[in-house]
Amino acid sequence: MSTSHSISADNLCRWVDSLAGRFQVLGPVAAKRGQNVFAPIDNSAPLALDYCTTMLGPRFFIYPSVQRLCKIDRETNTYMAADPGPARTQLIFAIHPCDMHAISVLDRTFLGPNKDFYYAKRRQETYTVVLNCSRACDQGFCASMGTGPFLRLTEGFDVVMTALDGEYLLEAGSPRGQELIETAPGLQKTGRMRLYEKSRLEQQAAASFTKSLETEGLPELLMRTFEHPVYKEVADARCLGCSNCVLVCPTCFCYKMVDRVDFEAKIVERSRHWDACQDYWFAEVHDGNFRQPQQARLRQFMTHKLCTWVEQYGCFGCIGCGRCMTWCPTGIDITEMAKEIQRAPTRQLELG
Amino acid sequence: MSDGKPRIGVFKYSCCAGCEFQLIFFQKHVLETLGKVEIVFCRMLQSGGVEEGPFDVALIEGTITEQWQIEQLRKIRSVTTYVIPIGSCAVCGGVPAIKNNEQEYTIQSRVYEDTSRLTSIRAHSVDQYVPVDGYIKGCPMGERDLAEFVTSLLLGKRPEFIQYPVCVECKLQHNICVLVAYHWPCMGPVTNAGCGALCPSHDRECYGCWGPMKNAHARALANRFAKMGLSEEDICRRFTEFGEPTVEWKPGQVRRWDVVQK
Repeated sequence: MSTSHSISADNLCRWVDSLAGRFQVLGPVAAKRGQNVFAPIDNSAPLALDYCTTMLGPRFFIYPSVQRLCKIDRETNTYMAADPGPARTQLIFAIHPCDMHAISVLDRTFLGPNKDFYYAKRRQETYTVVLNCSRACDQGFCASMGTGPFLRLTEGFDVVMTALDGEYLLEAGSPRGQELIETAPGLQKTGRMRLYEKSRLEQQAAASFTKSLETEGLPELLMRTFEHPVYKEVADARCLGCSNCVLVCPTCFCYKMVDRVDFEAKIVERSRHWDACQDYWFAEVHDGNFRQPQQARLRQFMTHKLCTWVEQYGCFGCIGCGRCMTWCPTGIDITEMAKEIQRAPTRQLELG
Repeated sequence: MSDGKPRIGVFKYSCCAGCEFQLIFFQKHVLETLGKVEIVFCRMLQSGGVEEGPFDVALIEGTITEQWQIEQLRKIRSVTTYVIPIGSCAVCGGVPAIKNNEQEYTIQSRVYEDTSRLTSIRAHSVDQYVPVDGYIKGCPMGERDLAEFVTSLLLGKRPEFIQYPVCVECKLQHNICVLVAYHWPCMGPVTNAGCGALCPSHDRECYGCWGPMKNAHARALANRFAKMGLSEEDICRRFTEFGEPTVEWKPGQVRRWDVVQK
């Protein structure tokens, strides 16, 4: 990594103002009733840099919830791609490390052997500026998943910022990130002392987590315990099958194709929507549904994130942001389910 | 479909006639489309018409609340290829089915002084009496599902009706979850989508007008409402506002739902 710089809070705001001229800046802003959301901003004024978490991660700027893919005109036999990508180059400002890791997990899906044209285009046209977390959030367990509280990626992002007593430490993660930093006003070179302070802050932040998950041997354990009664117990008592967990998860990538034919049956529009494995009909195929009971769908969500993802992509599908449990209407907690399996892996379902 | 134009009949039972209005509004939207179908019978649209059929499609609106309606419904079924209930009343009982939660006479005497001439029976959805070929849900029926049905009919493909909860549409719209964030008693998790999460997008909770989602888990949601401090009465009211005791919502409608849980 190249040399790091520090910048005062005022100059950081000025930097964001100047970036807003070049890019479509997307940052965390305060929403109604104490919530935060990622939204487009014109200047640094609405930025809420001390935000804890947002309901939806910034993935939807790269992988939109509803994306129009193509339009086919049956009369003239023409085809046109309908999603031209973002109008201006995007810059997502102050992403937390977990969400940045989530984007890199999505990269493995969409930019792997089967490259997704639409995703690649938006990903290329999106700059990412990460803001390291100096405190733990209530439901997060990123320290256990190796995705936080400080960024641990070495590539795939542009700039990483760390708040250090009133100042911000800027480090570049890519050549274009380096260029970005050089446009910042009032930059100061930092010495080794600052980096030492940063690593101390990281240790402090990591120690402040209340939630944790033991990941050692977890994929193998979950693979062995597919019939564990915890799935049935939780599904029967609490799981609504409402798909909230999947839709707020920043690494979920399933989508469904939706075709809309106009009333004249001449123009067909194809778009893709985020899909959810908790929906009843998700696993409906010819002649049946292979995940009919809710427990099977709940197990699919949990074991995909913590077990089969490792086999598929070489990393966990869970980045420990805690959104699935925060936004579950009945508060289902996958870390507690995993702990129950770890506690009693051979427990059988009690009848009666 | 003898000369290529599907023959459509629209029948109305106990309801507000909003769905038929929606259909007429829809026709105004795309006159050409409905020009491709032949409306054989629709009281609100044209006088006369052939009530006896035969029809390719019968759109049934409203809850069945009288004996003669059942008999007519059976006749329609025998001369129709596709019977489609439209709107919450015909799909799951809708607002008229609120009366199923109390004794028939109690309800009647609350409204009428003289109940001796009333011939009404318990309110039930269309599929309680005859087999149906699909549902166009909504209150009034959703334009998306109706459009999907009409285009599918014209293209000769199987219509794909929406079968997921309101939560999915709500998240696609990036709404903050009102149930989790603000503790409002939102029926979204157990309600069929299609409205585009209209209420949560306008800062209020879903009240379930589209009727139950397939395989919904009403008991878990009722438990959650109870934890939020809603009384049994209130919970019961939320689950009975739209729809008769369907298999999905029944667990939320039973007054002593915590007993059912055990």
